[in-house]
Amino acid sequence: MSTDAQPQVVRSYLAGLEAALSDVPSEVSREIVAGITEELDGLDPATAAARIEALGDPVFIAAEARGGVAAPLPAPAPAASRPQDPRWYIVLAALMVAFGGIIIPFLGWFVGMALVWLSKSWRTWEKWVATVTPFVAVALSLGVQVVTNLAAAASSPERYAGASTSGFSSSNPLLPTGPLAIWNNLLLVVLVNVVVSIWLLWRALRRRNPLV
Amino acid sequence: MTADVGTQLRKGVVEYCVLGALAREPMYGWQLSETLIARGLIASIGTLYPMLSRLRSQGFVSTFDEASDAGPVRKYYRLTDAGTGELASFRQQWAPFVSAVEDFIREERHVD
Repeated sequence: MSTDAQPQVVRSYLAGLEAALSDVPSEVSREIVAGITEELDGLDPATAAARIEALGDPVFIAAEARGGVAAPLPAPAPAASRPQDPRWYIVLAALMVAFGGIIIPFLGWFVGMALVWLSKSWRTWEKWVATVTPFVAVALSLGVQVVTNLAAAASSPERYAGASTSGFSSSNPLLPTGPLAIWNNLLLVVLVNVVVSIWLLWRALRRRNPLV
Repeated sequence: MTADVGTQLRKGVVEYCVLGALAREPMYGWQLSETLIARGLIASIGTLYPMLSRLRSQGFVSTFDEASDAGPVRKYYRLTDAGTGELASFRQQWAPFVSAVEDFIREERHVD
């Protein structure tokens, strides 16, 4: 850094500064020496000496520099420490949960769930809610149908008694079967998945940092 | 707790003071250091450069070289767009913070 054109006082000060900064990170130490050198360059010895006086002891400057290195400003983007999924991923996962099972029967829903479980945008309990809700809905629906059928059987036992000869599956009031019941339950699953996906979207997008 | 209150206070805000100073005009290291030392915000130029280095790596300030009238080419620091945003968000928090602290530490005035 020092050149022959510099007064002796500047050269020895800069040498002392470089020595004092030897254990400061090199980038910082380079900046300090460069900043001070550019200020002392071209000054006559008397003015340079006055500046050096104002600068103070190199050891003190180095101590300050070491202290400064250890006190970082809070990270500019807190979200950087917790990586976020891109918005499109969240939307895609939610869409697959809602309609995946229709596009690719059944399998598509599993793909949607896999996307949700692999994502960091949802908490574990939210993933469980999204996974379990369709099953709970179908179970509740079946339960309601069983109760309804039992009530119907109790109110008109002769109808079921007569039907018992035509086959087990359609006559057992505890098993709500038949195409209509299957379609009803499938429709229910689709509706529940749409609601779940809207809920998932809401949870994930609400949490996203709007500044990021 | 009372040992070095000033140092603790300065630590929290001095980087934003640098951003604030550079928001007014680009400055070179020495100029910035003089300004901050004169206001008691840093003790020496040694404090300034680690800060500048950090602010630059965070993308809040950038540098450019410019020849001064006196001769030497100086490295100037200026605020980036990210730095302007960071300063704006600090400004938003600062006034309510000061007001809250004021509320707590204000001396009670007894009316006789």
